[in-house]
Amino acid sequence: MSDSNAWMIGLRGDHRAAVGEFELVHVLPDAPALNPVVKAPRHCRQVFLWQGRVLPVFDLALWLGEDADEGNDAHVGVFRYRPEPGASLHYGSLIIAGAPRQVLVNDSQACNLPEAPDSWRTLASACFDYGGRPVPILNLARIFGTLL
Amino acid sequence: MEFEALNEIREADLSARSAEIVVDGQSLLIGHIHIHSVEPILDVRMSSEHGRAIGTIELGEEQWPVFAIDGDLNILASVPATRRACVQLKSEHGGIALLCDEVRVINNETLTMVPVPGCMGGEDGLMDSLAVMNGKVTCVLSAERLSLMLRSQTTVDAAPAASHAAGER
Repeated sequence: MSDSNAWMIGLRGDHRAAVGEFELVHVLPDAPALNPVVKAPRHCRQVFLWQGRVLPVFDLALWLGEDADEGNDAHVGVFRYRPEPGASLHYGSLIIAGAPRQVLVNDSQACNLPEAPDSWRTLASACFDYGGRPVPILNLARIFGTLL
Repeated sequence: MEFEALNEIREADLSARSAEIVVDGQSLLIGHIHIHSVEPILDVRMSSEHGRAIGTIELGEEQWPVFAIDGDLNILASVPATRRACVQLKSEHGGIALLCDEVRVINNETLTMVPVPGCMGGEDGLMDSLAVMNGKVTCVLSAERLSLMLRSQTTVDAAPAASHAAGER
């Protein structure tokens, strides 16, 4: 059974999630200059320019029901994904808490999604157990490509 | 404010330009071809007879409803002190006017248009796209959809403040 690398990220409210090794591109050292987008949903109201691209800022914790306070440990991570196999790369950003951590994962760690909040079913494509806690694997194409 | 300059752009140049409307610091772009004219706010006749419009502005024989909106396109019941100009928008749904703090002409060659990210909506069609302008990102509005949305708020039924014209999410 082979191991795969994944990035585990923290979210406000002590939530954890993971993305593939090549899906996390960059963690911004400083808060970017954000631009509001009119009539956008509360959890994703702003965009910023990054390397010539316009990236939405998605606050997963807020969407999961946590309060809007970002705290001092909030960072913006830049992620990439393909909307479908063979499609060009798309980019988006998530508000994360703390520094991402690289972990090794294999199939034996597959487990059910956290029971609460139920909305993980919308955000995640799979889940693995890490240290006795389920860690949802984010479906970035769904998160950035659809109105949740 | 360049009212005269805004009102005197040649017909041939209209599609190559946008109007940048600034409301509460939020910059919004609308194709200049949809701008009928820009007038001082003093020309607005305040009235409560047109639903959630704050008044009307005269255009020949017609009275166009005038709206005060905030930076997120929510209709306001009163006029903030920073509003100085009245931008008249024409569309196939009829004319409307918006009060704004500033208005400028933008050459479209200075803009880079990008689609609205899927996670940010756009289902209501109010935004055509986003635009990168001078290192900032701004919203490009659909004049047709905006006019349709605002004109639906000019009936007496639309008057109660509890209704939300553009739909709170």
